Amino acid sequence: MKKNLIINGNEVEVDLIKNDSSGVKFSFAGKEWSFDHAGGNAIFETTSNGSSKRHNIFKHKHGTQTFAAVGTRTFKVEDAIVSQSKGSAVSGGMVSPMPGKILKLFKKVNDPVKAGETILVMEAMKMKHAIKAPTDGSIVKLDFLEGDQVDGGVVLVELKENS
Amino acid sequence: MKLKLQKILIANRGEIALRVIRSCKELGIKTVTLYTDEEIDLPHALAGDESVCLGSGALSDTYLAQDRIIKICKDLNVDAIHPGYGFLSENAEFCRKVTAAGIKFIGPSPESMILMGDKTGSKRKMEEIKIPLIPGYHGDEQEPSFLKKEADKIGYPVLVKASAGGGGKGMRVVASSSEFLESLAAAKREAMNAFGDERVLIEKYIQNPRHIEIQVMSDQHGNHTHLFERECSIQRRHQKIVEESPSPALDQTLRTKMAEVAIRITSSINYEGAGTIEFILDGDIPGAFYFLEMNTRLQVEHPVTELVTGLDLVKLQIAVASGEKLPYTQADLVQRGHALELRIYAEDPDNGFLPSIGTIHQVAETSARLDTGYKDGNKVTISFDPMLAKLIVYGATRDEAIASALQALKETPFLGVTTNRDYLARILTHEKFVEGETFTHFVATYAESLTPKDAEDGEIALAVASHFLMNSSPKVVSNANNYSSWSYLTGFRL
Repeated sequence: MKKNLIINGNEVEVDLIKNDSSGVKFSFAGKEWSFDHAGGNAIFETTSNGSSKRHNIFKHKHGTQTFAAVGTRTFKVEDAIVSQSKGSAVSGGMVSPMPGKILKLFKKVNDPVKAGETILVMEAMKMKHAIKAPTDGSIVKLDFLEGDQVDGGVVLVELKENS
Repeated sequence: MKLKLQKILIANRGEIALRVIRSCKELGIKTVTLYTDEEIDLPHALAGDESVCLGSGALSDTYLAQDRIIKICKDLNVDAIHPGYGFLSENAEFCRKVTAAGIKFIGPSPESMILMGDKTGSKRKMEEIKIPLIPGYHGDEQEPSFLKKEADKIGYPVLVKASAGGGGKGMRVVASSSEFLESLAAAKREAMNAFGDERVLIEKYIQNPRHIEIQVMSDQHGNHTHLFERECSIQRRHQKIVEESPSPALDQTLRTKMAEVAIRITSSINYEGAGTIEFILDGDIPGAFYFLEMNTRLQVEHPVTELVTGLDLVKLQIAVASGEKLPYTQADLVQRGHALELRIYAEDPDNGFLPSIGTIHQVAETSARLDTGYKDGNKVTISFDPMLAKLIVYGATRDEAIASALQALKETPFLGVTTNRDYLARILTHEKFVEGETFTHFVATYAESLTPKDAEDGEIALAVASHFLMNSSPKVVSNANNYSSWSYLTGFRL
């Protein structure tokens, strides 16, 4: 079964052969891979010559995302379908430029806005950033309160354009 | 006079608060910790025998609220304050108020703090006691021909810098005498535009500087000692990220020479407690080093010194503050093996070092020394310093220490927050770092070779496998412990 995953923002296609209580088997990058839980942080890899290789992988499931630390790298893995459904909701969204704090909200959900009007001000890297409406419309989503911490690249406001 | 300290308040937070508590516990001293509303879940908050919530608000109302902190000490019968680093640790006014309130400030006298906190004043004092300073002219005479003569005397390249300066404005590197006047005019114009003040100073330009500091420790009985050097050249934006001891740049002769200069400073200002003398070592002139500044507190990177000397610097600070003599003489001290400290930051080195925030799902599982102020489930916010942890490792040799550091980095994922962990691994494995070619411009010079390598298929496959395995339930292993109380819940009635 073909599965599309988003790994650190890049789409990766794998062919899932088996995924049950005895482990997972998939083909990726022209090779077949076989892994199993081994208790704690450990994962066993069954290599093509039949030997078992132990890997220590810190992993955590957070909602639909999996964080996995492989060596000194950290991967964020998510099913592409989930990621896309989030993506479609993003249209007309205004995104936080970097991690920061919501300083002031000038609008609330259902408020009409004009293009260029400031919807909220956030503070990041000791600078203030005004998040402005790109078009005329009305606010359909605004899930933050003044004082909230937000990560970079997070959708702050969603706007429905006037038709 | 000896006084036994019974209770210490730590006027700090995070990893350093926890670090100080550890030594206090081993000495049987009670501790008081401070925390703010938003820090209630962080490990330091309730780690003291007593803890006081500072509420919320600006730092001036919390960790920097001098009178408030002193009042807490009085209310709780605190004998001494450990200021940690940052915050009030080098604030002479606070030190004076604390002392006036009959509480011992664990650190030097306010006079030492004021002297060393003043750039001009400290350099004048250093000149007086013949401490090597970067050759330069800092005077009021601004006549171009006079300045040129001074520059010729210093020797090229020289740095022309706006006296009112900052941010690289009005700054010029001049390579030769023939270019001097032209560059001087340009620097003066720029300084005038930027600061409304065209005065400049001239200094020898050091092309390949290393940052080397000597740890000092003095008691109240005139014993001034040094605990060898730390090499802190690996920095990004003037922030240290990798520190080590010994320095790969020093031989025994140079080490002894720098240490002697450090001791000359502490004895001449009658210093008390732990301190650090920072030097710039000129990579192009063998044996040339210059005084930069003195930090009159415990440093972030003090653990590397602890690992190579076997001493506990916080315990020594407390002993000195109690009026005890240092429990060793200089001749007893040996610098053994090699220690490395890596600072793990919540930031993205591959995206302009932007700070990152989020929830830490898993901090670490390591046997290396990890000084951190976070535990699993904690949130990283932009309210405080982005340093998540210090990872400190030891090896018999530098190569061994590097190998241990790489292993330890793999064991400290801080899962859930973007960190500089992989970037640190790239530094540690960089050919020039391995060869000991550590200069303060390292990160900028090798920026290109420090960019991330593409993930290998095997690594991606492991990430994919983790995702699938996390989303399927692991094998149910039948065991003899099936008769837990949950088995009897069926039919349970109230």
